Amino acid sequence: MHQREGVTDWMNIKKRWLVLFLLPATAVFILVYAIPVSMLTATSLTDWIVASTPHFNGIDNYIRLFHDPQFISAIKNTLLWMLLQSTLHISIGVIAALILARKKFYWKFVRTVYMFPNIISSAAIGMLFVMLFNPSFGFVNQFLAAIGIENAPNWFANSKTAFGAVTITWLPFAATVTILVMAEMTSIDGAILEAARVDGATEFQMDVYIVLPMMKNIIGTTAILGATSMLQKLDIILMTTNGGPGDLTLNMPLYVYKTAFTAKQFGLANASGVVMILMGLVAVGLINRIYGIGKKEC
Amino acid sequence: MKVKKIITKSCIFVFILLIIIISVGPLLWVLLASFKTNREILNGGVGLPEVFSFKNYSDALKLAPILQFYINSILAGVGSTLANVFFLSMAAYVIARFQWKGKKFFRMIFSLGLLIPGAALLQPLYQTMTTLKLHDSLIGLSLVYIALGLPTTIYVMSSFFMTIPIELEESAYLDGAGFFRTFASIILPLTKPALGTAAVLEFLLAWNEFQFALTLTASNAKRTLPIALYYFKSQFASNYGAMFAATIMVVIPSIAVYILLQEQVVSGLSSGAVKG
Amino acid sequence: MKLKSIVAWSLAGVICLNLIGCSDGKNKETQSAVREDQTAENDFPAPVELSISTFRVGTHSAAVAEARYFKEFQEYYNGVDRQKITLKVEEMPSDEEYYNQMKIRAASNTLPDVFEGKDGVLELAVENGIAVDMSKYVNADEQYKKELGESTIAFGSDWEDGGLYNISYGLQAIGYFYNKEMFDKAGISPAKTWDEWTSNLEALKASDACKAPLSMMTGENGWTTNLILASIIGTSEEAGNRFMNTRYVDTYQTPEVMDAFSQIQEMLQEYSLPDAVGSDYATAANHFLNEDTAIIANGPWMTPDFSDPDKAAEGFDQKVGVALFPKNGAIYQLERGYSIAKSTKEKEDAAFKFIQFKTNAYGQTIHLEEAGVLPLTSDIQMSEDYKQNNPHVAELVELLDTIEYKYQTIDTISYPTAISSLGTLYPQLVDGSLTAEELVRLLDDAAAKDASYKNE
Repeated sequence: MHQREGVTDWMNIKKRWLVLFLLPATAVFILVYAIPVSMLTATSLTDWIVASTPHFNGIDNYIRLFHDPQFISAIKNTLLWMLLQSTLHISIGVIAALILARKKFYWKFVRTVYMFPNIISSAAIGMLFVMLFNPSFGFVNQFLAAIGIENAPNWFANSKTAFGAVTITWLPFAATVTILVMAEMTSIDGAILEAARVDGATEFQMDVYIVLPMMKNIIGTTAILGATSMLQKLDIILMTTNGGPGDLTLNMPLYVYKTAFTAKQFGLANASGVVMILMGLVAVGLINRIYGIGKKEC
Repeated sequence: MKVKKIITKSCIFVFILLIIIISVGPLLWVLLASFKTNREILNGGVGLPEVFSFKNYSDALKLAPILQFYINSILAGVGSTLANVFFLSMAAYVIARFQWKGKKFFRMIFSLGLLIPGAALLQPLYQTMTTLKLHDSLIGLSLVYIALGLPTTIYVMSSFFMTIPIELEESAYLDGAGFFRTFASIILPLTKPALGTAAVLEFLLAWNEFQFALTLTASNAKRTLPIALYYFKSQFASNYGAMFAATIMVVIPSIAVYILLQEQVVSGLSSGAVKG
Repeated sequence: MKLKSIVAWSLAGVICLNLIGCSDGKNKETQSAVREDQTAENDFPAPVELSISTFRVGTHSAAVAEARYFKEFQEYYNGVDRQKITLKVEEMPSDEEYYNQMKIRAASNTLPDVFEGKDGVLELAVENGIAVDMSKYVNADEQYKKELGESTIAFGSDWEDGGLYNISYGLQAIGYFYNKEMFDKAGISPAKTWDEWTSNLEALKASDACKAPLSMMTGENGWTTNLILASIIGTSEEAGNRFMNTRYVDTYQTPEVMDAFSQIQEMLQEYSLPDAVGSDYATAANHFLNEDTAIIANGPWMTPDFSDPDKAAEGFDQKVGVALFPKNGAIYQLERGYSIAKSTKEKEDAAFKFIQFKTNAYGQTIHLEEAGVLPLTSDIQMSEDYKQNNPHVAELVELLDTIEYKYQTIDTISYPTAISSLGTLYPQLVDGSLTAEELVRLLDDAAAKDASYKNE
């Protein structure tokens, strides 16, 4: 629809510019990602402990990891959260974008305000939820008691509700998805929508059959961003449940953190980090395939 | 038909209402808490403070070098945002719009950044920066922030670049414009909404980031705002009131920047709807 | 493609740089130190710059004392009457972040010259030879040795090779605080046995004097709960007491420990507020200060809160009493204290001077008066003024002579991985999904994960 497959003179000759344009990104990437990740991977094959000299021990760390029930739990929880985020979270954000794009009187206000929770530091958000969900004096339980539900659970500490409570601290806050989708919506040719309107299509029909398909790329992108953000959720879990009860809310970043800083096993922690990166790569590849991102169509 | 419309409208109403509540709620709570005493906060009220006192704010300024950190946060935030958005949209541009060998490879490795656990990066990055004599320097920190926002910016910008019709470059070339000029004066202005969005995301990242800031800076002369928040929390003596006051002081500039950049995006939204 | 080779070469280049930098870290300092020595003109050693990190900033109770130390130390070692030593202070707000950073530094062999090695850092530093044995310094100064006291030196030398690797700065003695008014209303007095302790809790519950008898918590490091846990184990005869005085216990699966956990389980289920599970320290403390609960186990640093209008109602401090645990048990342990990182001789010498400044008689006095940290020996006495202003601390100190069972905290005797996992296991103990037996088994599993765990 937007791009042609044809290759022209213009495209071919500016190789020099290609390299130049890529250089800053590549340099920064090497410095901050490539080097540390190679150090990471190299030390994941050693028995490195804080302050000791590392000795090569092959894939011992990896074998050890997969024998650790907590590690398995961490993988399960992370995958579940990635799934929830790339489906529910994205949906909320996309629906909000579609609604706000209709530009009813409230749209600027809502779109500004929705981002607020993302602007506040996660330390403050964590504290807020801890207080909100406090079983003795928190707002949620007091509200429930007022409408007749006594004995509401201790949300973050109860084995049944902990996972859900933690999920709520980030799932509904999809403002990033919304602003990204809305930004991409500006590229839609107004003429197409006009034509559809003239043909009698409702707003809902236009959203579902015209807008959404055109947003496939950006939605796929936000799905990737959302799913991979689950590989960075650490602060908020530390503040609310610290991975508990037991390992019910333990995810991979937290596992890496605990192995590195509590257990001081840097080699082992790096191995778990490598597993996490591989997991992420598979997820990204999968989402890419599902959404067919980057494929040009007409 | 009418019933269907009423149901849809009420669903939308409830949905938007919920969004407003969960968005404004937290900030309002923090704002009110910043005027309450510690006792009030820990006793969990959601209402207005008994006394509207600015004590928390003065305490916060006394307990932590907030003003000093402000300057550093602004430098690192603005610096990394400008550099990130400008240089990385260049990379996104060539990835999105041109065919060349290794394009897929670069695309893949750039998304690597999203997958690496921050906790595992701390030590290697600390070592790298120390070796390069970039420890305790805002430049080193900004480089890290540019990199942390790299995947997002490249994703967002390349996604947007792909929506621009190919004919634009061709016609520019035919008109005699060079590669860079085409990029800077023709393509880039069309992507204002995406630029604004990418800038917002990068700025917020740099503004709120804590772990790397703590690890890669040492002296108060280079420290940034998120570190200030931890001055109010020690094992046995936390001053939540002051912490929330400091949170408000940290949040206000980022909200201002967000609203400012949003204007950019919105202007793109209302005007740039027609292409070609 | 050309770009790829550029990438590959730059990668190789910077990795090389890194490897060089890694090993080069400390060597560079030797060279510059030698140069410094040669240019020293007066009798004292050449000027030195010490790096030190501290978490005693912001709201920390010892923040003011700490700042005072830094200032006075540099005024003392000003280059005029003595060597010039400047301090390069790095502030690390919050103790947890401090220990995390120390681990990163230790892993890159860039520990600050003076550091505190809690959380397993010192264990690893000693094991890998990057901590300095301070016995040579201490033995050369009889006066200082006396001011430290024998137990301090014994405590700091409790290492495999007997070297003195850490010098403590103060004593931790902990009992519990209780609300005298509530106790009166329930008709009880501080328990002398653990049976009486339980019946006290029952009486408090029945009397309606408080919302719940105990201020417990399982979040963070479960501090107040674990103090009671430590006391139950520590007062249960020989075996228990020995357990609670071992550095890094290998197993929790002993009858005393399991029984103690069952008792704690009951206390969390029956005699605490619903938010005790998952609660952090601030909330637990607030419940006591707000007169929701009658008892809180905690140390003397809490006492200023009793008369802080921001934290407690007017006159609350009058209602607070201090007591030892049943069977006259109390937490009685030295703080881990300071260590020196291996470096150049000049820096190590200067580092010791700093530690000495902080832990000699003068240092201990400041610590007591300004931060409420108990001194290392009984040579340091509280001034009358101090006793007037801190009646609860004075009361606690008087009780110290009557202690029959001394033991350490759960944090001190446990591998850090075990303590961290305990916080997440408590909720399951309380809601019944775990029994005490199962819990201690899981604790053992967690302990085995620690880098310092010795599985002989």
